[in-house]
Amino acid sequence: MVRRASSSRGFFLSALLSGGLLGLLLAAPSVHADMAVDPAGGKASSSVSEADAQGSVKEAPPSPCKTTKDCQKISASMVCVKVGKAKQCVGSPHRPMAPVNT
Amino acid sequence: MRTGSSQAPPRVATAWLAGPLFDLTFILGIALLATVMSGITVLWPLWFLPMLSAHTWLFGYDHLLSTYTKLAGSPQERAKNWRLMWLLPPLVLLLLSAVGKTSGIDGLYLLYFVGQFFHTVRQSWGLAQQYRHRAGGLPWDPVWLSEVTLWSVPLWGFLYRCAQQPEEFLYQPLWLPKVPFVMVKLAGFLSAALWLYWVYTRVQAYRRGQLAVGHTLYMLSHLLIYLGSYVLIEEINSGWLMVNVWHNVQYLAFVWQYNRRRFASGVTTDSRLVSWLSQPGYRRGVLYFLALLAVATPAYYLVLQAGLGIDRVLKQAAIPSALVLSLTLTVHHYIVDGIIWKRRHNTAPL
Repeated sequence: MVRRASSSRGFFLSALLSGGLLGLLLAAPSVHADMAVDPAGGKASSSVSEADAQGSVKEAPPSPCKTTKDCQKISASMVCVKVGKAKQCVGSPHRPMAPVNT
Repeated sequence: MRTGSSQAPPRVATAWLAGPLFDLTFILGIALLATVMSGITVLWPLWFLPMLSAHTWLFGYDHLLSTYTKLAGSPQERAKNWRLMWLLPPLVLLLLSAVGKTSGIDGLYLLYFVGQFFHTVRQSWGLAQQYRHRAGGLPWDPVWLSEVTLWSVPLWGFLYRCAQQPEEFLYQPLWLPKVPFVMVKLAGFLSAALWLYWVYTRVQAYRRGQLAVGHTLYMLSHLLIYLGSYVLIEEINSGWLMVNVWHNVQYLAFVWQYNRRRFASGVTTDSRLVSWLSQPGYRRGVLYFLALLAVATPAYYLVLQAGLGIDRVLKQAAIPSALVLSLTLTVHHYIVDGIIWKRRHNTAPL
């Protein structure tokens, strides 16, 4: 019984801990990145890592959007996300190709 | 003069699947994890993508893989299920390719949205039935009424999503049939009535000393998860994340517990790896989960890369092959899961 309980705890703890750790690792670059977009030029700014490496990339004004199709005219890796009350284009280095797995 | 019969105080039967630690974590812990992960994306929508990635790689792919410990865990199972293992996948691939050709990504995402809805609710019903059987069948609680009550919230939520007419689901266009809001309200009213009656019958059962704690808590968690994910959360992606974290982690835990029980007598020669990983002990529990991750992660990475490679060779980009391949594994899982866990296909108790 004790072994069974400790085994249950082990399974759930390992699942939760690795979930939390990977979540944080994944979140760190993409949340801090401002996903700057130059709507006038119609091109996405440099990649997140480049922006971070340079240290002082200016925030570009957000690109408003209705659907992801609007954002993909700017960059294929961008999606339309509700930020506050408005929707705007954001990019992520972690955009999954096929998240249809449940 | 008083009669001799003294009234017994109300009592409850826990009727857990495994024990209080496992079951309370299974019912409350997983629901809490799903709520927190989804809640973060509701409060901070920019967290959705990293949360989706974490969910996909940590719980999604390995939950599909864990099906194979039951489908093909032993030579007997491989012999019994060879059609499901080898004939079904190409058929599903053909079907999805046809859907993709005729209806495009919209058709594939509609199929996925409806498929995952049905699959997750059906799994929840199966788990509720597991708790019912552990509690001796609950003869005072009609199965059909329980099933209607359980389905009523997800159906209400599904109608709500149809009425909402979201333009996108997981950043792809989504078509859902238009439903008037009055129909949603009617479904909500009927569901509320069913659940109120359900609460009434649980109070009565408690007074009779027949309340099954495991079944009751499970049903409540189902109610809260589907109410939250399909009705209270406005945003379709965050709602989807909530129910799917709940579903995937539950599946991982349930299949692990099933393997623990079936290999309780020790390591077997015909299922050496799975039976070894399913032995008692803290480290073995960790290794079981890590082993699933260690196989599922590179396997899915290869599937997605193969999809990209196929697209490069065929020079086609209308329907990403990675999507069709990945969805093939998912739909295969839906079909297989609906067969292998049925009681009539299992001589031993699940």
